[in-house]
Amino acid sequence: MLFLIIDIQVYRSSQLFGKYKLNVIYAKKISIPAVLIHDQADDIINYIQIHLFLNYKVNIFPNIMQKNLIDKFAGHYNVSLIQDQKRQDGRNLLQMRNIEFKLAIDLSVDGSCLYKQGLTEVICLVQGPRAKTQSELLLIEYSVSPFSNIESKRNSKFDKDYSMFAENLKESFENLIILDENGKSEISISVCVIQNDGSSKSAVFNAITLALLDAGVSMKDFLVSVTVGLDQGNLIVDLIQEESKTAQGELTISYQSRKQKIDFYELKTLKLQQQEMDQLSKLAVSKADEIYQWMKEEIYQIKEKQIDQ
Amino acid sequence: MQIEENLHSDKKEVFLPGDLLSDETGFISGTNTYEEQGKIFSSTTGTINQTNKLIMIKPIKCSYQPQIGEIVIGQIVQIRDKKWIVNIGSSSEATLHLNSTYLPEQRQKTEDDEMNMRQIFSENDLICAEVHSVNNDKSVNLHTRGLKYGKIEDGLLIKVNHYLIVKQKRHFIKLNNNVNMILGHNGQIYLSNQDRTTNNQKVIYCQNYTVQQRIDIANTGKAIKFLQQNQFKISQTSIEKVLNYISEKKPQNDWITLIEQFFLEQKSKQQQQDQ
Repeated sequence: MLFLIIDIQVYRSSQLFGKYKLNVIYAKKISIPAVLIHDQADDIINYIQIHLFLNYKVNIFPNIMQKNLIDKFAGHYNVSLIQDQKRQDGRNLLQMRNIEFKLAIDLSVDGSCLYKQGLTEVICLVQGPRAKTQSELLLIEYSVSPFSNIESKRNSKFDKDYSMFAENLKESFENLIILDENGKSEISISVCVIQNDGSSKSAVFNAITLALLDAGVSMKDFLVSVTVGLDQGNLIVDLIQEESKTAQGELTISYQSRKQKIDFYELKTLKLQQQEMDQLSKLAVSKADEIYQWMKEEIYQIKEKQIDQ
Repeated sequence: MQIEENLHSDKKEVFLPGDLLSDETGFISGTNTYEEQGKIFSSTTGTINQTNKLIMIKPIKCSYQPQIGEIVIGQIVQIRDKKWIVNIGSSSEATLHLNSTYLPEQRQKTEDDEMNMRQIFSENDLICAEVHSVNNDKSVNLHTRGLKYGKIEDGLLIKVNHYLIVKQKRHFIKLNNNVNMILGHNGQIYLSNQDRTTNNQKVIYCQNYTVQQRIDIANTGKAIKFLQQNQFKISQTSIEKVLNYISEKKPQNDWITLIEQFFLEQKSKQQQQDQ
């Protein structure tokens, strides 16, 4: 058994320390470092120390830290980790965070999906075509949980950003889904952001498409979404929340992969040149295509297993 | 051509929404496909199915689509003139007309019957019915002619995923432990002690339950729920398999852990077969 308690303010990403996977790294303020009950506790502590020291210039155990330790463990890290052009959480400039998704998490509804992109988590439930109870053919309920951000705050309906995005979601999925011609059946979608660590809007788009796919709702196309940005003159992909505060520009698109057409386009910026904007949208389209190819292969594997049964 | 290769190979390829099915002229787009600028694309996830010039996609998982002759269990939502609206979990509503209900005496329905429709079925009643016809707009007409259909009460209703239910010869089943089961095609299963298969009686009466019957019904209910959780196919044989396993091992003690053992054994058998 391994117990590790590190008192830090912000958890950023999960990293591998040798063979141990820990949910630590990147902190501004560290008070009480660690409590470990393990045979190889010393080893793990050393890994953490050196990683923090090399990447973020943070020294957690100033008394125990030895210089020769750095030489001993430096081979375990990729050399690329210790470069100048690194982002806050140790990624390359054009590297996405880990994407995981799980279909059919809830068997009581027709389709469901849990989508994780780094620490951003979105859950989506779909009730497939069923007999109509209301006047609308497509219902989308978009909500952001009050505990999802670092500062806990309740979203009001009068928040412009929130209500506009809910309308945009409905508009883009009304064009995508092949609705009932006779107008006798409805589809209801409810989507919720559980944890928000940047680029949550693109995660919402991806989660809804995957849940619709799980429910077997007929669609014209496969919608993927991605967030890109411009930070200190560098183009970056998949922004975390701290980056989106400091970034000069942040662009979220949703992309219809078969028609090769941009469906939703949102740009947040104060000042941006036209050249940079063109670069941003080109990068976003190429990244969206990459994600589509990756998702396709994952879904083929899942569905082929279901056929065999 | 791409499609012909798929049809003749053993392993069927999966298509996703937006994937190209054919770009040649002369093909007709069937269910779950759509046509744009002379090309045919798929609109759901599934495997391809082709008869002559008609291309269609057979979906892996979708909402319940009723077909003629299937037995369904549903709940009455509304009463309109001369008909009931029934919720059977399909994509559009199902209707049950007054003329297609059962009366003990043979006669035509009169205006008095129309006034007293609530005496036959009222709101929130559970009914068992057969699909009589499917209209062009996918709405469904039901009928309850015959003694085995009609109102059901005093029993246990279990909802499962409809795609798990296996189509069988009989859907009014008497299990080994004398529990009567109605296996609805729309994923609703009803357990009771009323025998609906005999033709001798004219009206089905509710009988009082004994203690043993209650235990048996609860056990079969739990077995079905475990089948649903592990996503196994539900049929008479699969339910009896689980119940036999429990009765062989230990009839009284802690049978939930026994069921879990059963599924672990089944899964390990499947893995061995795959290897």
